[in-house]
Amino acid sequence: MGFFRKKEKEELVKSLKAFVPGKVIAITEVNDQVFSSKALGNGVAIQPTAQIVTAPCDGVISMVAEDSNHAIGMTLNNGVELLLHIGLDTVNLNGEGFHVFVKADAKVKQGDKLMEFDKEFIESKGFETTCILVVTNSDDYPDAEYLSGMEAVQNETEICRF
Amino acid sequence: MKKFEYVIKDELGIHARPAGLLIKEAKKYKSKIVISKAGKSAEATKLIAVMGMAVKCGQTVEVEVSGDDEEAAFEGIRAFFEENL
Repeated sequence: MGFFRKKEKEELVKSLKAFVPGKVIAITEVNDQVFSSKALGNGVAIQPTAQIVTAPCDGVISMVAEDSNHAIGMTLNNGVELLLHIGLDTVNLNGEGFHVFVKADAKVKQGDKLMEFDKEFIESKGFETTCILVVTNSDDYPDAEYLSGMEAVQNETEICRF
Repeated sequence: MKKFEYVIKDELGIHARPAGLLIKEAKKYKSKIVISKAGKSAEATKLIAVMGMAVKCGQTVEVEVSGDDEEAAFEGIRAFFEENL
């Protein structure tokens, strides 16, 4: 069967699904200027109602914030670079309340568990748990659509389209 | 090409907030700006790469600036580090 060559072409990522469940808000509504001003890039945010963060799409983990564990980077096959940032100013917790399941360079599938965070603990320390997704190279994807205003079901509701 | 060394004074190191501000500053210039620390390096315009270096308080980074506007970029970036990091 020499002629039967399997040619698998990977489909480019076209959309991002909710990486936590909850109300989706525009990035401009995030209560932190570094995000709301889009200084880090365009994106969306979710007010989480659960504590497991899942991959919004297939991709490769590009970064896990060392020690603080509150932020994860992902590179997608369409060139998009994502930053998932859990909570506001949560770098100050030095990793307490965060447990990351993945390491840099790991390949992940949409829906894979990336991280668990302790919402009650983080809030008890006085931090907001808003989960922010930033396309850090959003300048390169001017046509991307960021969807907000709805209650998102984790791994199902679309929050961004390329 | 011009370069300087800087010892990070921000308690939390180069995390998302200062990294974001650094990227904004670096994008003002045409010059290529590279930050390095003990074998790791990242272009100052790439947020995830900069955050991935996990630069901590007390660590020394070397910043290398090269390009047409390297004089202005060097001064601007050095001032940025002194004010923000």
